[in-house]
Amino acid sequence: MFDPDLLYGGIALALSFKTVLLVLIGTVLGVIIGAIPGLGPLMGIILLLPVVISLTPVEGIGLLMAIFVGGSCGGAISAILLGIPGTPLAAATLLDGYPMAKKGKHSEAVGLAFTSSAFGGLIAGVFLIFFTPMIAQFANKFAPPEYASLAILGLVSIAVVSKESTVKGIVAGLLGLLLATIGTDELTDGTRFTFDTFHLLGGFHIVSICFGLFAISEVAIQLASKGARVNLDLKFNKLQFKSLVMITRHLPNLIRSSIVGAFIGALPGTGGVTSAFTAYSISKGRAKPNEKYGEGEPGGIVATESANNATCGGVMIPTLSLGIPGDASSAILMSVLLILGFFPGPQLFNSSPEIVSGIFYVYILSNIFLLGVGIFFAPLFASILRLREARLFPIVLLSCAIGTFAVQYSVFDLWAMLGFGVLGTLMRAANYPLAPVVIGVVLGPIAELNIRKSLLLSDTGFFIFIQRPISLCIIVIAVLILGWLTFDKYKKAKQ
Amino acid sequence: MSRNVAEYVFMFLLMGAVGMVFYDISTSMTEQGIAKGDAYQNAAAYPATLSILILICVGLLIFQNIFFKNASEKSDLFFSSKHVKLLCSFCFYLALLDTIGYHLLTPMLLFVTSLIYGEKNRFTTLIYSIVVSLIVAFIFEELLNVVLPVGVFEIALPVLL
Repeated sequence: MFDPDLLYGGIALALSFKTVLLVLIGTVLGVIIGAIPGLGPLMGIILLLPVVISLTPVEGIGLLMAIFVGGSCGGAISAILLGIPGTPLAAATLLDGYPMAKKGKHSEAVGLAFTSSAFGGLIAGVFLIFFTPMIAQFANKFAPPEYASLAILGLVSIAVVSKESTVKGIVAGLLGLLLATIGTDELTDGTRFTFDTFHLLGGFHIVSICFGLFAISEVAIQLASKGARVNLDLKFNKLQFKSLVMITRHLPNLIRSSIVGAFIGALPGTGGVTSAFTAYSISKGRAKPNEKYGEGEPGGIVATESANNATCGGVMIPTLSLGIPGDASSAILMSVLLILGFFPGPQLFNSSPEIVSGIFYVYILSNIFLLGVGIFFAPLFASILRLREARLFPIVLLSCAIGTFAVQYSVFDLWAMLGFGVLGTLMRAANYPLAPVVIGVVLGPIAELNIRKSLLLSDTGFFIFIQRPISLCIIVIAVLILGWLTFDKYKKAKQ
Repeated sequence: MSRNVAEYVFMFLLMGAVGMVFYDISTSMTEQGIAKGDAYQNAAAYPATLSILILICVGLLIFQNIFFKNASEKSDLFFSSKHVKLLCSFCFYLALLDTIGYHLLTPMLLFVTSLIYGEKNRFTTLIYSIVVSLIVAFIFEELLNVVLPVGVFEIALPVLL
């Protein structure tokens, strides 16, 4: 059952002046990063990763969570004003947001996007607060076989649901798992694949991997793209209070879409894009005859934006309760907790409940700030779209270099980052997804340690995974997901 | 660049990585005594299994490419001399960072990369590069207490905060 006492511990941590300020900064930065096409919340989280390592867990996660929340909404600005989604999450917002802007209702559309995102996030926050402790309590019954099965389920789902080919997704996930084996083996203390280099004794640092794969490859890709920033001559009404009134006309849509977003987000591997399009389809299906979806209908923005921001709360449910990240962003949030010495999962609820509740509060706080910054600063965010690549991407490159250096004061990490950058660019050119690599790196040590511990406990070898009922259920779910998605892709390919 | 070319280069790298895994298992890990035994002692079984799975998937992808794919499929990416220039300037930066130091080298990196990205006005770009470099240094050195490479000239921002 839900324990209300859990919520008391984190209040002081989350509402300290420093944490509140960091969450506010994170929300603003997230919106800016999300608004710039080509960046997005994941990139924002990655760029700020070296900073949070010097902070306390709630401060650090607060900053990154706020970037996650702000960035998930920021993409809507460029989708509405330019017709270019700043992030894939905002692709569905484009369907009605851009037509609204073309009708001269760009201020209302942007205001509505912020308001829907904030309320969607807050509704998902309720799910996060109530369901996460319950799942974590259930997971107290888990032993190594269950954790190993969960790690495999998380990885399989994420690899398989990647929009690229299933096999490519699995290869990327396997590569991540293999990268995670580099360094000192936790059980034997032997070294693996270090080739007598002391730099690799601890393996590749997650910051080098993330910066390289995502940021450096993005810098290279943007160099190849011919797209230039579009001149923006739209005039903004200064404050967007009107959106608070507008949202009240779409309450059932808002609540329904937020629930869809939170639910889909909680399923590993699905994410904001799926939830936004699903919520949009449901809203369109239930539209009244006078609501013309696809032609600038405000309900379309409410559905997509509330769903994709509710997904941010949803993905944190398996991340915090089971230690299984729902997507690449939550994998990095989880790795931050690991770096700071906290292990997400039931043990975190037992050992550091104040950290868990602090994370709940900073999530709620970031959504409240999102509402505020949307109302007061929407015109400022729109002006960010005028920034040119020639100004932006050298800064991204520099931030990556200095950010990576700052983590361990190691130039070797910088070379590793460059190597992963080349690898990431090549993978993107060959249409391989990058997220499964990062999730593989995060889940790899959990999967290996628990598989080996399970085999030590077992008298029947690998049969232990199907002899235990919970582990068997998890494996059956993994197989069903794999089977269903493979069949679905096969059916679509045949059509 | 053809997507297939990028894919085959990536597959080649994967197979190289798998080769290195088995090389390390047969040499270093065997010498350490962690390449066989039960689940506790055997640190080689898990990476070896992953490597075999990668090889199977690579085989499947090659099969797909040969029998089901258009060989001339283009990638969304194209590589140009700009990429080589960017890579070279960044390698140059990394190679000299410890020796020359952050404060002298970083404005140069920003200046060169801005030009590679197509910035035309050199004077504005130079000022921009110096200002951005100082702002980043301020954030890391003053706010986050990160010691940036000072190089042989030992240049660092004065402690302000």
